[in-house]
Formats: sequence, C-alpha cells, structure tokens
Amino acid sequence: MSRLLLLIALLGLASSSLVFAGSQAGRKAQFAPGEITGFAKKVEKYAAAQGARMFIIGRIGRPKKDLPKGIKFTHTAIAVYSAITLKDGSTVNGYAIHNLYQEAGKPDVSSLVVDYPVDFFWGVNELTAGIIIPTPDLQQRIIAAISSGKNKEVHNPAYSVIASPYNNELQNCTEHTLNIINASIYQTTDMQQLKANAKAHFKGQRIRSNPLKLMLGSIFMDDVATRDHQGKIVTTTFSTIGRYLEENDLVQHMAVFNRDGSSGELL
Amino acid sequence: MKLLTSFFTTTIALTLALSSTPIYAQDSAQHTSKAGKHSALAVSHGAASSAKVASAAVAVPLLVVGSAGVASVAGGSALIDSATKPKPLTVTEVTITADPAPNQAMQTKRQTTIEIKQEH
Repeated sequence: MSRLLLLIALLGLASSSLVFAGSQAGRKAQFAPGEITGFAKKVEKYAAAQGARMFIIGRIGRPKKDLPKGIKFTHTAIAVYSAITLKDGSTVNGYAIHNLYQEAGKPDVSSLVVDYPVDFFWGVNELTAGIIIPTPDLQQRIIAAISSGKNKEVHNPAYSVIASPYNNELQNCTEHTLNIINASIYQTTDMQQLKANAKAHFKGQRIRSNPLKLMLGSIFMDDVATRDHQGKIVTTTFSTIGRYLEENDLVQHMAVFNRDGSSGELL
Repeated sequence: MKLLTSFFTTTIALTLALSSTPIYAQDSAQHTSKAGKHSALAVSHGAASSAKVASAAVAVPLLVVGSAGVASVAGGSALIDSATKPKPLTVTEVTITADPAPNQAMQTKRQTTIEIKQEH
C-alpha cells in the first residue's frame, strides 16, 4: 500500500510539471470579444508601424505557471501583409496569418490554415503577442516562399507537440515556421538539406521532462511522440527562432507586445 | 489480491499522470472554429461600435514597390527596398475573420437547406 501511495505521489508531481504549451480545441474565449478584437488590431498596427510586410507571430494559450522552463509562447505562425478581399467584394489591407493547426478530432494530423488576428488570438490565455520582424531581404524571401506555395512543400502533416527540428519525421507549428524560414534563406525545399542546415546552425529548446511521463504521453496521447528524438528532447520554440535569426543578423525588430499597448524585449 | 492491487495501481497512476493537467497541451488548435465566435463578434460590434466585422474571401500577399504603389509578389518580381528604412503601412479598421471550420460550415449549409424545404 505504501508503494502505491508513493507511486501516486510521484506521478501526481510529474503531471503538474510537464505541461508543454497552449490550448486545446473547443476552448472558449477567455476575454470579451471587444477586448480580443481591440488587442488584435493593436498588434496589427504595431507591426504595420514598423513597416513589416511580414512577421513571425506568437501567442500564449496557457497560463505561464503551467509552461515548462524556456517556453513563453505556445503557438507560432507567419503574418503576411496582404490585400484581403472581403465577402462583399471590397478589398482592404491587413495581415493574414499562415498557420499549421492540428486537425479537429485528429490531434496527430495537421493542416495549413490561413486566418486573421482576431481568430488567432480568440482562445488565448493572455493578451500578449510575440513579434519577430525579419530584415527586409528575408521578409521578401519568406513572402515569396508563401506566395509560391513553398510553405506547402515543407509541411509534414504528421504532428507531434514536441517534434524534433532536426528531422522531418514529425512536425509542429514552430518547426513548420522554421522550415519556411530556412527554405527562404537557403532557397530550397529539399528537406534533407534543410534538416542538415538546422542541425548545423539552429539550437532548439531542451524540454526537461520526467521520462516516465514522456513514455506515458507517447503511449496514450496521439499528439505526443518521442520516436523522432535521439536522447534529449529538443524542440523548436518562438524564442529559439528569434535567437536563431538574431544570431544571424536577420532581425529588423522583435518584441513582446502587451495588452496595454506597451512592448518589451523578447529575449 | 496481488493482481488486483497491481491493476488499481496502474489505473490510478495513469489517471493522475494523464488527466490531472493537460500534459503537453499544444496550442496548435484552431481558434477559428471555437463555438460561438462569429455570433459573439457580431453582437459585440452591432450595438455601439462603428467598427465592422467582415469575413475574408481571399488574401494576397503584398509588397510595396518604391513609390509606384502596391504590387503582388506572386509574379516574383516585386522587391522591398532594403536600403531605406521601412515605411509604416496602413491596416484596415475592419475586423476580419475567417469562416468557421469546414465541419461547422457544412452544418450551417445543411440547416439552411432544411429550412428552405420546410417553406415549400
């Protein structure tokens, strides 16, 4: 009986220390619609004021206290300044967001979806945005890559929340973003080459986790897999993408944008 | 008895480990499909606000080419002038939203069809 209690205690402790990130499908909005639309528009205007034709955008989908060390943002995508044709036929300028999302009911499968800032922030836990604006040259290359469908070429629908950035066996939203960035930088969609380059130049985020919990997660949760890792669990995050671009002089501006309109440093 | 204890140990341990907190919960969930979003947006903008909510049909990436205006990058010929400081861009005041997920859109379509049939 004492062994049983010890096991329960250990697993209970483990379960409270290994939440990786954000929200699940079906989660309701945490803020009033007016607050979300206002914040989403502020984020757009902040990026537009910097002259960003595109930027990498991050959101916080879960309480900070639940996130493991090193994880600040729980979903990453690419916002592209676009001419948006509305249902009434009129055209307006704003940011369209190019995402990799898990499919509803199939968490181990992803698809590419374009949505807009209010959609992006609808279910967040905190009205805070991560913003990374690459240099103009890289912006242009990323926009060209998305416009020509190269983002689809570097998409692998086999999803894992802790996908390794160093191979193409499984993929999550941040790894997909990294793939688009590297496809733009190196002007190739050859995954072997892109992954060799990631191994050589990109430093991912180590996820320190309870091995038992990882094992149980990979057995019982469809969107958790460890088979693409060898040894330590390392994955792509919004912040590691920011650091990677900064170290390679490819950042024009990056910041954390807050609900009150203030901004702070990302790294 | 030993077998029974082992069974309960495993069951309780797995329950605690996997369900007490959303382990590894990823945020790659699509907020567009959150129930009630479109109606909530409509209500929040319907009363006092002058801001519009509109559904998007298509979005085409834009690059500004010098002072000549706006050009699509689709042809691959548009260039950002990287030598000069980026100029601020304008964004619409309209709140743009994507349509609901396909499964929800299909449900709406089906309901509409049924309503039409009932009228005849």
